[in-house]
Formats: sequence, C-alpha cells, structure tokens
Amino acid sequence: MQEVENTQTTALLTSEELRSKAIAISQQRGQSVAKRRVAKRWVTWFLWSWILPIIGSLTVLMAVASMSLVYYFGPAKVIDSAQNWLIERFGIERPTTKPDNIALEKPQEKSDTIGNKTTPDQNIGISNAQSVTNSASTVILQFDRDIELQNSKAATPNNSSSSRTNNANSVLLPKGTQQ
Amino acid sequence: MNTYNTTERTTARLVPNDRLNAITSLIGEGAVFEGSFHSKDDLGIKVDGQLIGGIVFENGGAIHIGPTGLVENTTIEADYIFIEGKVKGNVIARKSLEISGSATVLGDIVYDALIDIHPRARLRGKIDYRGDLDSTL
Repeated sequence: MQEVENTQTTALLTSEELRSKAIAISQQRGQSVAKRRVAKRWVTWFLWSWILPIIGSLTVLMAVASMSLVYYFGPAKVIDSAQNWLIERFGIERPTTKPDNIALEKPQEKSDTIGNKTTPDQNIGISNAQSVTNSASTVILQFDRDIELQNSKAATPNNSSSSRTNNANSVLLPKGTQQ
Repeated sequence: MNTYNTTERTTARLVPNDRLNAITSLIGEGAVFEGSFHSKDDLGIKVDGQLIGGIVFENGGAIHIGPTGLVENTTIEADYIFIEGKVKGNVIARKSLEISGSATVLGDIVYDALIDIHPRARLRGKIDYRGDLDSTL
C-alpha cells in the first residue's frame, strides 16, 4: 500500500524532460571523455615528437663524444678523468688498499653434483667458485697493474716502449710471481 | 529547457549549438543498435553507444557522434555532422562537418560547404569537396 502511494506521488517525467536530462548527462559524460582522450593523444604526440627524439639524439651525441674522447686522449686518461670527476662530484672514495679479506686463498669446495641446492656456492657447483676466484684475481691483477704502471712511469719516463712491454708482461703474470 | 550549457561553448563551432540541442534521438552509452536509422524530417540524433548501420537524413538533420560513440559499417548523411567518437564508414555532410580532436574517422568524407578538423583528430580516408571550386575563388 505504501509503495502504491509512493509511485502515485512521484511525478513521471515527460518526454521532453527525459530527453533533456538524457542529453545533459550525455553531454557531461562526453566532455570528460573527450578531454581525457585529447590529453592522451597530446601526451602520445609529445612523447613521440619531442621526448624520444631528444633522448635518442642525446644518446647518440654522448656515444660519439665518448668515442672521440677515448680516441684522442686514450682510454686510461678518460677513465682516470671520469673517476676524478666522480670523486669530485659525488665524493666517492677510490679504493686504495688491496681487498685482502677476499677469500682467495680459501680452498675451493668442489661439489660433486651440479645442482645441489644446499648452499649458494654449491648451487652451481664448481663454476661459481671458480668465477668468484677469477674475478677476485682480476681485481688483484688490476691493482698490480696500476702500481706497476706508476712505478714504471716513475722509473723510466723516456723509454715508453720498453715500459709498455713490461707492463703488458706484468699484467699477465699471476700475483706473487717474480719477473 | 535548454540543457546544454551554452556559456561553456566559447569556441566557434561549425555545427550550430541549436542544432546540437535539437537532438531528438539518443543511443545511450553502452547500448548497441543494429540497423539503419532513416528520416525524411529535419531531426537530430546523438550516438553515445554503438551503432552498426547507417544514418541518413534526407532533408536537414544533425548527427552528433559523442566521444563514447562508435558507428561502423555505415554511411552517415545529414546537413550537420559533429563527430567526437569513432566512425568506420563514409561521412556525407551537406552543410557543415566538424571533427573534434577526440574523433577517429576511418572512411571517406564528402562535404558540400564547410569542414573543420580539430588538432589531434585521426582520419584515414579520402576527403572530397562536392561544391564548385571555381565559384569560390
């Protein structure tokens, strides 16, 4: 009974009112959708027309500039300059001591089965332990090479060809080997 | 009762506001209508949903494809056509045609008098002017 009274008191919309309301709702909805779509298209256009070409051009420019620097000044000077710049700009300390605490002399634990997942070293077996040792040896050799480069420069400043040969030999020598 | 807020429409439109306000038929958003819409009277239709078929007004007529509207496999023909949504098919506007920046039209366009294509509108098709080119110059 209550529902019947409610339906009777609620006035039905005329066709004109219904049409007007429907069009008004459609208009409001349409404006927001249209704005969003135009904004999306603008962003897409801006990205493809400006941002990506700028990033691409800068990348190419930087690559060309880096190659030119390496070509004209040599890789050692460029790397040294870059390291100096990093130190000045970000305050990164260059490592001065040998990383003796790297477990180089630790005996390698050879696992018999590849894929035994008890520990991380044993996970990939021999190759992992060897790669750790090799990378550590590379670090040591690099330090040795730097020190010997400095020594050779200080000892023989004029004889560049012989020092270069010595340095090349010293790089190949393992740690602790006498020349 | 004029439900369109005419004060917000500051930009000049080729399709007059009174024509856009005189919409008599509406395919609402989410609705799908299959078939041809045809009238000999000067009426108006707005499509916010999906219409698969043609719309032809032989005399006068205004067609408004809303931003959510999609009309495909069709030829739409009227005096005034305002496209904000997506149309796949041919468009024939006898008086003025306006394509907004949110619109996508895949098909040929034929118009007799006026055309306005907003920036960032996407069109793929041929545009033909049916009027007399010599008389306008």
